[in-house]
Amino acid sequence: MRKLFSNKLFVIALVSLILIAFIVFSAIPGSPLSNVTKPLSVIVDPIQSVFKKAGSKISDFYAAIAEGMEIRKENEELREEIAELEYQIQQGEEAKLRWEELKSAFAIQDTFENYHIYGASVLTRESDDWFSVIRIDVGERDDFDSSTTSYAVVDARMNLVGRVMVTDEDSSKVLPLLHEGFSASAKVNVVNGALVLVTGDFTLKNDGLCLVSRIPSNIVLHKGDELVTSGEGGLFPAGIPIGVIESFDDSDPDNLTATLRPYASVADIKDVFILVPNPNKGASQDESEESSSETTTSPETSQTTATPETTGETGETTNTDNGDLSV
Amino acid sequence: MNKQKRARQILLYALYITSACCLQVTFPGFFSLFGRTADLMLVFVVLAGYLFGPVDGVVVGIIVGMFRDYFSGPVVMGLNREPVALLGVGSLTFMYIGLLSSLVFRRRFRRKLFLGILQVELMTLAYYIGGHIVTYVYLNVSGNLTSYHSLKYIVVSCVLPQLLVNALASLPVLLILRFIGPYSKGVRSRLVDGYSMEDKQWQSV
Repeated sequence: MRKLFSNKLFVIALVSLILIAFIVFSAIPGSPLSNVTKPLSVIVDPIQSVFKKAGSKISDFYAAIAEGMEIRKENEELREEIAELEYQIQQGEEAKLRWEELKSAFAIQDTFENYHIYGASVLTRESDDWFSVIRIDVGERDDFDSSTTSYAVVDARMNLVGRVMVTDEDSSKVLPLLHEGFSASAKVNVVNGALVLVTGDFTLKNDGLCLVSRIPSNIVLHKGDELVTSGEGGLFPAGIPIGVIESFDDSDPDNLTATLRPYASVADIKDVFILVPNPNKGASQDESEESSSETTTSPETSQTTATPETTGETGETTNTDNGDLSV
Repeated sequence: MNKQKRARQILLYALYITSACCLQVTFPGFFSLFGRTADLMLVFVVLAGYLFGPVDGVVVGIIVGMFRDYFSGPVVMGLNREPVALLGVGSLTFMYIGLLSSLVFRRRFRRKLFLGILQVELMTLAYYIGGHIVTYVYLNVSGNLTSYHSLKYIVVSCVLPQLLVNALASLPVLLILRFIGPYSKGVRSRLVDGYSMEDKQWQSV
C-alpha cells in the first residue's frame, strides 16, 4: 500500500478522481457537499474582510494624495491644507453618496412591504469568464438562510442584481443577472405588458447585456422599453426593474429575441439588498407594527423587518424563474 | 528541511495564497488593463510549480483552486433546471496547471528565472483556450448554445489582453518568490525532477 502511494502517477490519479467525484456530487441539487464551504467561510471571510477594509483605506489615501498633487501644481503654499481639505471632502462625498443609497434603499419598504430586507456589502467579484459568481457578507449568522429556496437581490435603487445561490456562515454566493445560468420571468412595464424571459448569455455578458426571449409573436419591442420582473414563478416579486431594451431582432418570426441592458452594474455595486418573503405576513396589525419597529443597522450589514400590512407576492409558488416559462 | 524552515515555508505560502486570492476578487479594477483583470491566482500557481517543482505546484494549485471555487465558483444548470454552484472545478483545474507548469519545457527552461514569465504565458494560453473549448462543448451538449464568441473575439479581446496583464502581474510575483521565499534564498534545495535549483542555473536569464 505504501508503495502504491509513493507512486506519483497514482496519487495524481487518485486526487483527480476524488475531485471529479466532488464536482459531480456538488452538482446534485440539495447535496450536503454544499456545506463543505461553511467551515472555510469562518476562516476566509474575516481575512477577506480585512483585505477589503485595508484596500479601501489605501484607495482613499491614494486618491487623496493624487488630488493633493494636482492642487500642489496650482498653489504651492496651500498644498498641504488643500490636500487635507480635498481628502475630507472626498470622504464626505463618499459618505453622502452611501447615505443617499441607503436612504433610497429603505424606500424599498414602501414597495415590498411583505419582505424582510437584508442589507449586504459585496465581498468578492468574478475571477474570470467561468468563475463568475459574487460573494456578499450576509450569512447564516445574520439569520439568513437560502438552503431551501433562493431570493432576489437588488441594488440600492431597487434594480434587480441577481439571486442568492448558496449561504455559508458569514457570506452568501449571488448569481448575477448577466451570468448565463440566470433567468427570470419579466414583462414589459406597461399595462398588460407582454411576458418574456430574461436570461444571461455567454456572448452578451461581456457587453453588459442580457438576452430576452420567448417574446410573443405579435409583440414588437422598442429600444428603451423597460422590463420589470413579472412575479411569475415566485422567485422574484413582481415589479422589480430589470433594465431597458437595447435591440430587437425579428429576423426569425418564430423566435423573436432582444437584448436588454440591465440597470444594475455589478462591477460598480458596493451594497446590495436581499428580499426575503416575510413568513408573518398574515400576522395581526399589532404584531406587524411591533415587528416594523425592529430595525437594526450595522456599518456592513443591515436587516430590516418590513411591516406586513398588505398581501402580495411571496415567492411561495413553484419556482420557474430559472426554468420554463409558460406565456 | 528543519522545522523552522518548514514553518517559514508554510507561513509564506499561506500569506501568498490568501493575498493573491483576496486581492484578485476584492480589487479586480486595480489589476485591470484593456478590460481584463490579471489572474493572480493562475500566475501564482504557475510560478510556484515552475520554480519549486511538481509537489509545490500541485499542492498550491489545489488550495488556490479551492479558494477560487469558494469565492467565485462556476455555476452550471442542475438536473432540476436550477443553477448549481460547483465545488472542486477550480481545485482540479489548478492542480493540473501547477503540475504542468513544473513539467512542461523543464529541460529547455531549466527553471531560469525570467523564463517563468514565458511559462505563465503558456499556461494562460492553455487555460483560456481550454476553457473556451470546454465551455463550447458543454453548452453544445447541454443544448444551451444559442451563440458563441467568434474566434477573432476570443483571440483579440480575451486571450491577447489576458496574456499581457498576466505577464505584467507575473514579474512582481516572480521576484517575490525569488527574493522573499517561500524557500530561503528562493531556492528549493531538493527537487526530485533532476533539475535542482542548487546549481543556480535557474537564476540565469
